[in-house]
Amino acid sequence: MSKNSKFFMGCSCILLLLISPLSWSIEPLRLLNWEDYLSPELIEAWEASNVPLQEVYFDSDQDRDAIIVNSERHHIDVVVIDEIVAHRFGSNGKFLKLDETILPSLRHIDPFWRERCGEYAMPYLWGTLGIAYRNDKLALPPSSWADLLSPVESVRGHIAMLNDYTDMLAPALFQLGYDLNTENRAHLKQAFELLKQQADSVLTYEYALTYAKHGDKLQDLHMAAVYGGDQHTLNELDGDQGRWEYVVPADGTVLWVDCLAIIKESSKQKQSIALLNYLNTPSVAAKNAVYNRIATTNHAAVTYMDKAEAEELGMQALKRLQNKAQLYRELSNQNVALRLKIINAIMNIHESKNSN
Amino acid sequence: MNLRTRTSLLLLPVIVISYALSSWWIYQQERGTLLELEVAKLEQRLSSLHSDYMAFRNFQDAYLMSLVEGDLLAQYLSEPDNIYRLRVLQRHMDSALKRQLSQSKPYLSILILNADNQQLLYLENSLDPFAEVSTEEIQFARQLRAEGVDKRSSVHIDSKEEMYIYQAITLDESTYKQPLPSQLSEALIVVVAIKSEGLLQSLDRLRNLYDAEIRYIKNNEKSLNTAGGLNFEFELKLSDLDSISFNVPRSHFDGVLKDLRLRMVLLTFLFALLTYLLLQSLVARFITVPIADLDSQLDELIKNERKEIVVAQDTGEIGRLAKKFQELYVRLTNSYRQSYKQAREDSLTGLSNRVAFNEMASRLFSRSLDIAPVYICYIDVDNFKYVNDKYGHEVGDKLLCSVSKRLNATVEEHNRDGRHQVGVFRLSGDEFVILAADCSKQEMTDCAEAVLKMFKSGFAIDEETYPVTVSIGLAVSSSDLSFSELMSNVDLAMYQAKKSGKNCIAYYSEELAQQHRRMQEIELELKGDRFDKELQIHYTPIVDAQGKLCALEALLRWNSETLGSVPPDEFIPLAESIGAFEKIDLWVISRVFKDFSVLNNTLPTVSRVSINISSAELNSLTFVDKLNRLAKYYRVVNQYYVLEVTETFATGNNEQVMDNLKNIRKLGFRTAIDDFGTGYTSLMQMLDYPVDVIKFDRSLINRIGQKGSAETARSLVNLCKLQGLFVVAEGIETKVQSELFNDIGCDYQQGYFHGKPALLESLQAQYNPQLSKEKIIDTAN
Repeated sequence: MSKNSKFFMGCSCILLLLISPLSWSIEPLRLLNWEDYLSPELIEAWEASNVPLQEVYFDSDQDRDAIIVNSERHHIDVVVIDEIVAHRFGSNGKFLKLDETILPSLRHIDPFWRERCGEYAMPYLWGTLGIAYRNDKLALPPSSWADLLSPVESVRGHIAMLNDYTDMLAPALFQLGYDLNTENRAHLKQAFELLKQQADSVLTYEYALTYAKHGDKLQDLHMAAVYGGDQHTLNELDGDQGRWEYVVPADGTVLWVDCLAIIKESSKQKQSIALLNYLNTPSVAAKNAVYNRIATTNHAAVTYMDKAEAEELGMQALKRLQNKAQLYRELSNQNVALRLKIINAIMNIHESKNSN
Repeated sequence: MNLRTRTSLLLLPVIVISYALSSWWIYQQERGTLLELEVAKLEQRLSSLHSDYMAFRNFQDAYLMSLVEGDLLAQYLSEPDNIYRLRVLQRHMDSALKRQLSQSKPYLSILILNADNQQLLYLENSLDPFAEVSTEEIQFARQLRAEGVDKRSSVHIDSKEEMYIYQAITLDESTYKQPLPSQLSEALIVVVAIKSEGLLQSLDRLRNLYDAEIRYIKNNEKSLNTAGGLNFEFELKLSDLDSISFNVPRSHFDGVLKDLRLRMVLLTFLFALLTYLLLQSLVARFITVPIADLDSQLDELIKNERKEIVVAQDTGEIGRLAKKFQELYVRLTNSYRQSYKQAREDSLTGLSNRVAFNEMASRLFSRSLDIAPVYICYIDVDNFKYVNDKYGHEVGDKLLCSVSKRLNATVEEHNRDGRHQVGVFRLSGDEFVILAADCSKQEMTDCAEAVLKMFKSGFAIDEETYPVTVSIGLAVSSSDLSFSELMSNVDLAMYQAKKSGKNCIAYYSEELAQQHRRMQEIELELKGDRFDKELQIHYTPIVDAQGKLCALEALLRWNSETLGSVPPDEFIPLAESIGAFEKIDLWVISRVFKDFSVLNNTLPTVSRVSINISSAELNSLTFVDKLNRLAKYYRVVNQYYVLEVTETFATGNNEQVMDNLKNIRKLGFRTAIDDFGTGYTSLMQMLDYPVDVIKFDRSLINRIGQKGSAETARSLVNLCKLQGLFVVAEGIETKVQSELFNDIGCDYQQGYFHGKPALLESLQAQYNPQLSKEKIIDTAN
């Protein structure tokens, strides 16, 4: 599952409700989102003519999923989710079904993305999975996932991996040349072994950006599996020295997309739909993409960007990537359960080694 | 073995035995306590283990409870296909483990079976994501259903010696609550398994520590106690069905007791040794050393290296013992001194005795005699026997005491400045000795003369004077003389003094010694067998008033081959003193008897022949018989012979002498008193004896020969004649003497004037030459 977040100041707790004092009397619209994954400027603009928007932050898939499962309890109205979650929860009836009749701005979105997010969610931002690295720590840019999984001495112990049950396994499966979504236990076992042997070199399985926010720990980090665009955040945190670079290894990547969905049980469906329409307005989408430095699924937004911005965001690279990148697929429960066990085991192994 | 060693040998076994007994008793007391303690310790360890185990159990219970009560399980089961529910379960499991257990490799699993025993869920938090549920766990769950039990716990130990705790509950599949008994067969079975890490390892350590035997008891099987009551069995309840039996063999506790025993033996030994050393030093300090000190003091006393026992300031037994030893020693010493003194002191006179004399002499003789000659003055009281006989022994003793006292006084007088080493001793009876050194011969002589002077006019005691004198012999040591030789010398000198008429001092001299040696030689010859052959009979002519030969006196002459001519007055007294006189007398008698017929024939004028016999013969009981037998043997005419004895016979047994004289005369022999005038016999006394002839001695003749004595002599001769005695004058050497004695009426004379003693042949030739020649011829034939 993929997602991006821009800023991550503040609490990393599972739940933090920010309640606007101005809207005390009015029930606000609640958005479950990665931290700083929406331009404040746009929020301001939205609130000028709408109900207040309250963001509820999460910093991991697991947390998010747990909140969604119990969304009614948390009075969540809109959620930022990945494509798989969109399908899974959508098919479970958790989300409101969306179409162009209630969400006309969907027309600005490429059908490729609309298919990814399904009929219960609206595509939001997209990117790739790659390696962020410190250009001053590595003589050559990484060219393969093997550079991450079997790192050179200089970066050993300075690596961050993703703790997602799909994305943690992805580099290993890419290196092995297997399908990202494989159901083959043997493939998964090989991937597990690779990850297990890598565990010694891993600094953390926390999401690199989450990890980086803990004070000056960033200096310990030299290489990380990240989502495209995260290098910008890392550079910002690193004092804009431009030491962090991002590369998509040749042996494989994945095209991810984040989607927006409306909780079916939400009491503010109307406002929620309005929010989605607002966010998918091409000019808004462009502003948001530029703010987040992540490509938007709204192809009409390009017209609201200058060429350099579009170039940097990779808006034009989609076609090329669509050919070589893999896509997330919904996995069987059994497969998910196994993958969950694998990442659990890897983290336990890492933890036990570190605690020694 | 000295006291200290013996004390040590006595103390050691006593101490060792008492400590050993004490230790044994304490050991008996402590053994039970120690065993209880050991068992309690083990129980505590096992209990601690069990607590650890129970922590897992409790965690398991709590976890299961949170699953069921916290709706997590229900939510998952209601949406089994919702992967997020699974993730929630997994996160719940992770956080529960992290919160509760800090194991490095946490293991927790949850298994859910549906009514058909199909696996609905198996979630495991191990490091192996591919791990499958174990067949044992499945079996455990199925068995639960098969047995219709709603919950159960059990323990499984896999091949890797890992212990898994299974806890199973049943849930109604629609309510997710505890099913009714009737719904059991349809119920879901939820098994939570947890690995109890460390328990088995800890148990293993305990087993090694206690040599224990561990047995797992499944399904509450009754254990067969293989070792019976000899083992200690502890049970760890693991679950409803399982337990662990922890069997500790008694031998383990024996090992603990062995340690205790070893410690006690060591302690016993140590304490015994300390006590022993302490006691030994105390005993030494207060008992054995004082005793050894006393002992060595006694040793030194015995060796005369010390004079007294120094009593330590100790009022105890040893102090008293030392005091008693001291007293005893003083008493013994006094007693010894007394007996020493007694052994050296004459009890009668208080003078030192012979023992003391010998000691002093040997002391003096041990010095150089050249530098310090030793003088011995040998004093014999003359006539002491007479005093004893006459006045009795009391007076004799008194006399001796007095003599002793005055001797001492005299010696002290001569040694006033104490320069000389001098001592006065009483050797025996009436014999005293003065022993002196460091003095001159003159001083010694002066002293001896002073002693002699004490007896000058008899010895006066208590205004009574006793007629005793002393004969003193003096001798001085020389380097070539031994003590006993010196004693012989002084003895000789003393006897010389005696012989010289008593009451005088005789110095030992070489001449004296020579004389003595000659006497000894004579004595030897007298006893020898040559003596008879060397004797000869000479006859002295006795003439009547007309000068005509009328009698002969047979005189014994001894011409010894070795000694030359020995005069009779030299050897006769000696022969008398050694008892050889009878032999000589009988030889003379038989020789003269043998000459009887020759004399009778050749010298017809001779009518008498005198034979001298020892006056001692007159005391003999056999002499008269022997004389008679000889006379008969030689067939002599007894009247022809006169037997002469000196007047000294008068000192013998008067009655026997008289008898013998009478018997001799009865045999027809005549008797004569020879040498009259030399002894003390009074004339009147002499006249009472039955004798026929008185022979005036030469000394008497000489005295009478002086002018003025003639008339007295005449009266004497007349008196003898009146008594019917013949008078013979001896030793007539001159014509004047011959005429004088003729004049005063002496019957017969003899002496050189009338003819010297000669052999019979010479006399025959002189007085009857013709006859003599014939005789010679006759005998030659």
